[in-house]
Amino acid sequence: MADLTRLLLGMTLLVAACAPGGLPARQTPAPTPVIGQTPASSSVTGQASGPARFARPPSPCALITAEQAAGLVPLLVGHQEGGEEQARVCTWTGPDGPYLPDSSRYELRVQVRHSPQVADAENVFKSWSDTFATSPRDVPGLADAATAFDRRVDDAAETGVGYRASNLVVIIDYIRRGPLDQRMRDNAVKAARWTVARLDAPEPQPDPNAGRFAGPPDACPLLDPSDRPGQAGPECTSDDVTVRVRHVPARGTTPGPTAAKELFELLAAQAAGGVGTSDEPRTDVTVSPVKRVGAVGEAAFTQEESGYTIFGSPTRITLWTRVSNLVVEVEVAGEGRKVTPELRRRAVTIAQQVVRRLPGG
Amino acid sequence: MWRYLITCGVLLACCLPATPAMAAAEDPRFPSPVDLCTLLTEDAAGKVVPQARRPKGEYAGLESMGCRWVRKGVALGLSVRAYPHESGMAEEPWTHTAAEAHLAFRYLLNGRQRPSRLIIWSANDIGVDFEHRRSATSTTARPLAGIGEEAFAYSYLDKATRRENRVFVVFRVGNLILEVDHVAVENSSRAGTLLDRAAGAAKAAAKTLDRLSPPPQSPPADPPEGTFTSPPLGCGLLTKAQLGDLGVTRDPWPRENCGCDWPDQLEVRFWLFGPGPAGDGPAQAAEVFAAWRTESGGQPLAGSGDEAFTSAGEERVAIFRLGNVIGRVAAVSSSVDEAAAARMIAVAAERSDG
Repeated sequence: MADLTRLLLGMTLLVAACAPGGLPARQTPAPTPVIGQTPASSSVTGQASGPARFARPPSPCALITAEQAAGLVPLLVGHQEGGEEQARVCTWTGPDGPYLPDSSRYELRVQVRHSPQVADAENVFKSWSDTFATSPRDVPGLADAATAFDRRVDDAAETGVGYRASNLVVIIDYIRRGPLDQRMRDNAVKAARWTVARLDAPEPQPDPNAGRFAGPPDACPLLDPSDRPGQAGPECTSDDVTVRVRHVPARGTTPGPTAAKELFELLAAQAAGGVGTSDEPRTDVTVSPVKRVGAVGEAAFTQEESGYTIFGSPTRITLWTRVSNLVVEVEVAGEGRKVTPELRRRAVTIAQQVVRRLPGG
Repeated sequence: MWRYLITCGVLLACCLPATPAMAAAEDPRFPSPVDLCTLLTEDAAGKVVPQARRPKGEYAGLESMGCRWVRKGVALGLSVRAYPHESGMAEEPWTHTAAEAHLAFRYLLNGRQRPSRLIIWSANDIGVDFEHRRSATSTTARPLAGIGEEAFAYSYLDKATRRENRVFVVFRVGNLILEVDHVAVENSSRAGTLLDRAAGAAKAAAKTLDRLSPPPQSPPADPPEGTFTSPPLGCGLLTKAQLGDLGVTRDPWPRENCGCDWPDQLEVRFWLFGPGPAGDGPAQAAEVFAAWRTESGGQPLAGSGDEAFTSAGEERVAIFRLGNVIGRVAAVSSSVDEAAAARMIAVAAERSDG
């Protein structure tokens, strides 16, 4: 299966190489929904030209449901999104382990290429269909223009469909290591139709119970927006400061902010349970009681740790704060064996800064 | 054709999506930790541990959390279990689906198909300190109905008293796998068994969780007749006598997808097929089976499921298909007959609760 993945990667690069002059510059993201932002009177299919419908590229993984993918990829394990910002790719794969026969291993790949203007997308699509798609066949009635194709690379068979929908070009690849048959071709077209239907579908309304944050923001920009622009994820350490962000979604009928309050109090209870002095040999570590603090987020508490161990001084102050449906932990390490008033002030200042830098803050 | 649906009522597994391949995308019912001390009322906990000390919620990192009601000699613990994995790693449940939790639950159940060897345990908070540690063996898992979406129990049988003094109830609610751990060191005159009390607490906790985050309005449709909803539990298919006949003497180790290893002797793997390019689950399994037989050039094997073959290669392997499940039986030891093992396993799988 690793070979098949390499093959897919090669094809991705080939597609990218065929785009004339690279992709146009990034369009400024608009606050409109990514998928399904079509006006009520419009549809993906049959739209020959006009204004660009998609301010941003939709996630390719959102264009096919797990159930649909499972019908095309036996023993579906999951999917993975990758690629560049303007050309995102989602790949659905089966098990990677030994034993199963090669001809039963399938992959489904959906690539979404975004252009700022419809004309740019037309160029991308034309270039792709002229140079990449061998044995092309028109697929009538699918989006603004669509081409189906077959390929064979080494012992892998590939069939697929590429289409343009307004300023998007979407390419579906359906691959297995074995013979190519009509069923694979039909299924590739079926997958393409699913993605068109998804692009046409209305955007789901945001859950009013969710809270302010749809997901965890990246932690590094909260510490220093100018630093480490490429580092993503809910945890970030810079010198002696660590920030961890925990996003709390709604749970059943419990709104996200209420669930976050519960988690926050649970963390406070856990921290309170750890108060005391260690009785480990050759260490002298004291964990302070929990102290509620104001002026940070919607609620906050701190706990201090001081003393020494054979590995050095563990002196630090940790501040937990809650903002809507986020729980943020800021840990600041100190020097020496005691937490100083200055370290306490610094922890509060950093936490306030982190809260201010939260999206929409 | 009800042969694969024999014990749906016991494990309720038939009402559940069995693998990610069969499951629709869904959000986790419990996407963040819940204070487990709030899941049982004082009354409910008091039925198990009368006059218990007021519990403190424990939240030891994101992987484990729990609550414990104790007094001398008696305890009731309630905890969320991380999903186990055959690599030894474990995963937090909060971002996972009910279908993934079901697989993790089956992994745990598969690992409790045989009594354990010696276990030594202690619990300082109820007065069983290391000096007074207990020796026990654990029983095999017993399925329990009516607790969460699926549940099983097992017990510790004390070496000294020959009495069950610790019971575990493992149960699943949505994407959470929870465990009730009830200990009563000494005999008591209280009504009901240890298991009754532990199961009662588990049931009450599951009901509270259902109120906190109700289950989906429309449960998944019943699967077509003749299809497995989970692979059979590989470690529990063969009796001790059957394993003895095959020359398998080692303790079983659970593997993913309900497979099982008896190290250096016998290995069993399963693949469960849902609808795929070839059609429904059995049709998809049949297509993969046919490709496998063609690629391996194996010889047909009678009496093992719907169809079977033995591999023509150096490996001593038998492959069988039973409805929408394909099984692979590998004899690692030269003294084990793979064809005989495959026949026994296929017959047992057909009668199993998958």
